[in-house]
Amino acid sequence: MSILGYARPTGAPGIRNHVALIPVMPYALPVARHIADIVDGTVVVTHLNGRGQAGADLELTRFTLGGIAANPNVAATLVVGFEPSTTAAVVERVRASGKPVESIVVTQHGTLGSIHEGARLALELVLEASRVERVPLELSDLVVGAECGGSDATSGLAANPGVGAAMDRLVRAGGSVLFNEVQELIGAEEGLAARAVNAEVGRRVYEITEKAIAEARDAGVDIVDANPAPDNIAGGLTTLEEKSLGAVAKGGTTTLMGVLEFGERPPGPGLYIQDAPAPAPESVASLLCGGAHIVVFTTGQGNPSGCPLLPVIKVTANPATAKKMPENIDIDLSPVLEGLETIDEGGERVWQEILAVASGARTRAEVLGHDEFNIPRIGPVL
Amino acid sequence: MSSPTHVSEAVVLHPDDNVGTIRRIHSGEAGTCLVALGTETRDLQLPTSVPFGHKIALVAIATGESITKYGQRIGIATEPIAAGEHVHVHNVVGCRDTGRAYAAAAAAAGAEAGR
Repeated sequence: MSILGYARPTGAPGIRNHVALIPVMPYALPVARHIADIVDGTVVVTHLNGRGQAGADLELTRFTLGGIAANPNVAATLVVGFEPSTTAAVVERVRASGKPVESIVVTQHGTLGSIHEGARLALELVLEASRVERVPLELSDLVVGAECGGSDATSGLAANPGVGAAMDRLVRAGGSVLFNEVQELIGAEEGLAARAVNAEVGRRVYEITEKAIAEARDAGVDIVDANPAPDNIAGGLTTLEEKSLGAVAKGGTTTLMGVLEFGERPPGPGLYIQDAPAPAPESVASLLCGGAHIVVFTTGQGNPSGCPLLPVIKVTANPATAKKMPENIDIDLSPVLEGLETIDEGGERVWQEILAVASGARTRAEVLGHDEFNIPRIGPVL
Repeated sequence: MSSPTHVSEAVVLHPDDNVGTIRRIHSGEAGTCLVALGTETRDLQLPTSVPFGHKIALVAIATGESITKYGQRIGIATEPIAAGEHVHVHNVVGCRDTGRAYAAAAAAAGAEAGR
């Protein structure tokens, strides 16, 4: 099958062609929202970072905003700033994407003037984006993120292995797979390290989980002691390893090519892990910044979470969830759970959905406006 | 396919696994469980009832032997487990639980990386 993508100045073609409205800090967000209401084809990247941040904390916000602008699904960016200097700093990051960028500064125009001027700039960016050349998207261009939320016994038994089978297909086709949720790797290090391309990558798996354990301990939580939790044990999970292996099954079974930092792009084809937290808004932020075209998101108990700029394919194998939240579920893998379908057959359905979405089919989270997203704050508010 | 004589159904996630997981309950009693690995199925006698989401031994597992699921070690048997028996916290300990096996694996990975 052939997929037509949207040509970008560098790197992989996009499968969506959005103009991103990126607020620099909270005071700019209402203006960005108004512009999005006026100009079709724009998407607000809603976040509340950028104020009261310094050092590595501010750097993480700016790095993430720059990475989002560079995502292949973004055609162009309007930076909505508050004051000249901080706006210029974000524009500089966005400009590195090589794509069209404009900016507006609220203190220079006021709210109404900024909406007017910003909408005018956004209009031109959308018109320009709509004329971007359509080019063939090879499967080897495709980067897909895997994520899970609201997991239960059905996740580890059917939904995650099913998604993993689809991810194995993408890797065999030469594409890249990304996942993160470092807290859910704790206990699965042995198996992941055994699949690592070299010993250094295996060592990095242990390094990022040790860091996550230490950070949790500093916050007063002992992840290893607390897992599996009593309700996990009641559900049949015996050890922490088993719980985590159920979560990492969503990444598939191929060789682990590397362990990346938060928001880092995969440097080549194959399976990569990012050192990013488990909650969905932060996890998808890292996938988005890391250049994912699509996120495949499994849920057991039901989680509607999406992502700005990326289509999120929701998968469940819990028949009750599929029935209770039909508008949120794109793929129902409960036939795999019930033995009516093999994991591989379920994986083929997920794979076909990935191809359809890459070709333009929209997902439920996308249409329903689920754009949950958050950039982690790693420092104090100053 | 399952027949009315099956009390439950289990799925095996990887050919190397020595446990299966109950994915469907019919009567929920002790009796014959239908065990599936891909498209292949077989019958296994369960001496007790085993709840949904819980594991059963596919073969006899000796004390100290690894429990394998997803093709990977999820823990170690703390007593002999017969085929068909319930495999859970009463007869399995995680490598992370004691920290010893985990520390050894981490040290081995680190030593190898250091070469």
